[in-house]
Amino acid sequence: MSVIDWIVLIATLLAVITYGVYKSKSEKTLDGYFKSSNSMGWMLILLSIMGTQASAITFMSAPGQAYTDGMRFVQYYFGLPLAMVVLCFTFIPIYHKLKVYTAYEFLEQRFDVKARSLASILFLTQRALSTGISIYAPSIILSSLLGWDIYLTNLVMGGFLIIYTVTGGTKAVTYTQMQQLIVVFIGMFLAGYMVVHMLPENVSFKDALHVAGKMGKLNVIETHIDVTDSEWWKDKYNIWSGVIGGFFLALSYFGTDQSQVGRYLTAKSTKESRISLLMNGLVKVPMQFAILLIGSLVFVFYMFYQSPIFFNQKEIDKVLNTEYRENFQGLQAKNDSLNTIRQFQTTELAAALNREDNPNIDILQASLLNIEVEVKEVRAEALAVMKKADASADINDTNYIFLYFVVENLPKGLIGLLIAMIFLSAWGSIAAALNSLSSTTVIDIYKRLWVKDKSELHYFKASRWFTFGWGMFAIAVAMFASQLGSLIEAVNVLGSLFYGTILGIFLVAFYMKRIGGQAVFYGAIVTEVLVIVIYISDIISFLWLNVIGCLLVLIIARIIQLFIPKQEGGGKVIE
Amino acid sequence: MSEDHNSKKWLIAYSGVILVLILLIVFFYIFTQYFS
Repeated sequence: MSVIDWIVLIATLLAVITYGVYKSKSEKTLDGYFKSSNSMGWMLILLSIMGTQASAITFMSAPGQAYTDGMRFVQYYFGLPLAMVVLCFTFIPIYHKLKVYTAYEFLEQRFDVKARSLASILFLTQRALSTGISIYAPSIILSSLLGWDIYLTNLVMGGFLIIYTVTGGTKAVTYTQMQQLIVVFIGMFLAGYMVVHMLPENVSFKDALHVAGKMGKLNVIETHIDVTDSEWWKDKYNIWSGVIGGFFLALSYFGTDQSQVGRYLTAKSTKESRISLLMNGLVKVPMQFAILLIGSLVFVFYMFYQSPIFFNQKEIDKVLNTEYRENFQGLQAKNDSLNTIRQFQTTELAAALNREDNPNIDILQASLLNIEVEVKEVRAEALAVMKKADASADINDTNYIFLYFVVENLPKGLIGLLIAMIFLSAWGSIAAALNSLSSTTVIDIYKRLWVKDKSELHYFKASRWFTFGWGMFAIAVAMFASQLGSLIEAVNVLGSLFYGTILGIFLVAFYMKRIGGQAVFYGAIVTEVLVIVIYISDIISFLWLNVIGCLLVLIIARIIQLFIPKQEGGGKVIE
Repeated sequence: MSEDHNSKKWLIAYSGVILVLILLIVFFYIFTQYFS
């Protein structure tokens, strides 16, 4: 990175930290620390909700996803607006009425302390581990691309945000998320503008879209399901899994995950919470569409210029230092010559599109799709060679594509801004996660089960210490993550394994008034075991696990309730 | 403001969000077809 990039990067990060610390001064009570004394308006909450959901990996992975698989990933967000509507009329009024600090507090009021503790422990387990991975995942990519030390990158990625998260609590997290999102939006807009700007002179934005479409990269909607294919339900992104699976995922994430619930509990009123969630439902799908479109345009960019056989240079360097060097270089040469033919034919296709020369368009499209198949075959061979050279090689480069494009092609200054964008988007979601881990630990475990009758100041100080402690734990997970290997993937799907069960507990609480604490507690435990068995058996896409987990809790809790005497069964009805 | 009026207002807001989602899906469908 150039000096200008370093200046932009450091200045942007320092500005956000300083602002966060400045905003964090006045909070000295538990209510102020975790709920901003219910002072937030809908706009700040909306930005906070978006900043919490969009982690660094969102901005690295989504364009890469569009590059390799097209834009169908956007369907994954179709269930989100529907979930926002359900949250507005079910979850929000009850949370506000009961004046809870955490979502799990409600479960004790409805069932018993067992159900509350189970849900909060499930949340703490998955959120603590996944926060560590949220630090490690962008750090490993930055360290590979820029040659930075992984441990130092982990420290910067997970360390600096602890300063303002510990001192300022929710208020500092929310205000910094606003700054962070502004930088992220500017960065993504400039990146999108630059991709189009750097295309050959005679290729317009519309031409680029046509080329992307002809190559199957603008496949936003996929309605087709081939039921004759025995593996059709493993297909992650079609409109059905997007609407149904995405709905359950969004409902559990926004309704029962404290890192999100904690954001809208800071609202002045139920009205402000509702507006923020509904606005989130309106803007999230177009925003994700825009991010994916940048990925499709990066694909078009590489059709006009040479694209590498693999986007993680560190892994390429490794294989070039082994006996497989010549083998790999042969495949690189093959990839380069296919790229040359592709460049020529793409230019021809753009010209034919301008002339509306349909017969030629069809011929060139077919030819380019054939070349694409060949490019993929050569790449598959290269990946096999990389695995032969080093069995532990990471052969998935989807998350590297966008940043590789940034580092190799964008002008000085903009690279620094986009790297800052990666740090800030990571900080936004990690800070919210630490804040929620601390609130759940203090409110649901420490204050409820452990140290019961202390002063407000004691719990406030404990909250700061727990925020700090969880921050250290997350950094420790990130430091050890490189030794976890394939376990990282398991940690990433941890959310899907637990979310369905937690959502099931909440839906029983809201809608099945005759079911009590015992039934839901054992129903949830049986469900969790079944969900893990289904995941290990690998018979269905992870998006469906939320649906299955949720429905299983409802059914099993209902069955167990049949065998429990009435006096132990009924829960408290909260209208 | 009466509670009835309030809940009617929210009902309109919820319907608006769902309508926007449907319009987006229709737009994406046309977008996919047009550029394929």
